[in-house]
Amino acid sequence: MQGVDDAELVRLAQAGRREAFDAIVQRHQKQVYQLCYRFVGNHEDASDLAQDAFVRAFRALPRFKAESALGTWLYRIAVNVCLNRKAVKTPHFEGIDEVERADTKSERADAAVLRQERAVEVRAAIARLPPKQRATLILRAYHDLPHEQIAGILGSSVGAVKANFFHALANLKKLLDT
Amino acid sequence: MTHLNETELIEWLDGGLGAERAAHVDTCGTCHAALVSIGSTLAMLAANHAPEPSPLFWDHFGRRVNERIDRRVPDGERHGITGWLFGARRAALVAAVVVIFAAAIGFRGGDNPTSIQDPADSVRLSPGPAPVVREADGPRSDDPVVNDPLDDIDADAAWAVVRTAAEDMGYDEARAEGLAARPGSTERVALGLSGDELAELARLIENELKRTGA
Repeated sequence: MQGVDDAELVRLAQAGRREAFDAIVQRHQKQVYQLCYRFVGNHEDASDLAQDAFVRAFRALPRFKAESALGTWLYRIAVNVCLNRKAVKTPHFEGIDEVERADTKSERADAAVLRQERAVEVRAAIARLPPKQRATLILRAYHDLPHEQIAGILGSSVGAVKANFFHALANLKKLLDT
Repeated sequence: MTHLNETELIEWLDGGLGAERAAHVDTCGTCHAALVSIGSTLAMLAANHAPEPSPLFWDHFGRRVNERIDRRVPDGERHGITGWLFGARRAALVAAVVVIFAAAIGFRGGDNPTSIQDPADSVRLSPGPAPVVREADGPRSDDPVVNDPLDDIDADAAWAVVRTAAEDMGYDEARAEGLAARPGSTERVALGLSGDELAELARLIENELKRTGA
């Protein structure tokens, strides 16, 4: 299934080929997990949310009309799952001891601790943003999606996405400066 | 010239702002400061990496998804408006089942709906004479259960819809929705059945026991 494109995988999965859906999961699992992680800030909830998103995608797959890209559709499901989950409304953030210490070999220990503390602060500040601003910020800043695609995911206009992104950044700066 | 609005500031960062408006930034300290502020926040976000799970996690991720697909999602994992709608839909479904069942029982009770008999007098667990078909149930035939409403109901389209939907609901889900029988309710229902109804109930239970080998 590695050489098969998303559209063909969707067609096969809709025809009942379970291995095609497995390939869809394998292809998009990292993006969906990362999105969920940005919402909840801890691995356990992010893993649960990402799995939930794919379960919902599997059940909704017969109704997927391919009017949008598969990735966009999966993002939309994941965002909805995240915004509806209680854990996202009251997130438990991993402390610096729980966070994987990546890229720390080349930096001094105190610098690594400061960087990780800052990362926890940033995640906590993002969690305090209004839902649409938070979703916009995550999709734009961390997933590098174009405004048009974010608009499709969130069901907003492109102008509203740009405005939300601006306000998200402005609010985030205020939260981190206080 | 007016300052860049919020949308234009974002477009400037993306390199999508028209040349005329973009030139304004060169001469406007306010807009320039706003862009520096936004840029610094974006740089801080870019430096904030999410930790990457171990490769082992990805090896098992797909399997976990499949396990959740293959089993029904418990109610506790449903959230928000969809969870509420699902619960409400299911409650309505069960309510419909109860109403239809009650209507069927009431129809069969017909002559003496309030009579209470001692179950010990009526229940026949061993094969006995076929249930008596009252005149009100319709003409007799060689097979006394042909015209039985509880058998005809299997051919009823509306009942088929309810039955199909209910097949999707497990005991645990019904219980979680508060639809489980209360202690003593089964006995109360049984005491309210007529002799014929009790005989039919006994026949159905016996058939089910034989079918499942219990």
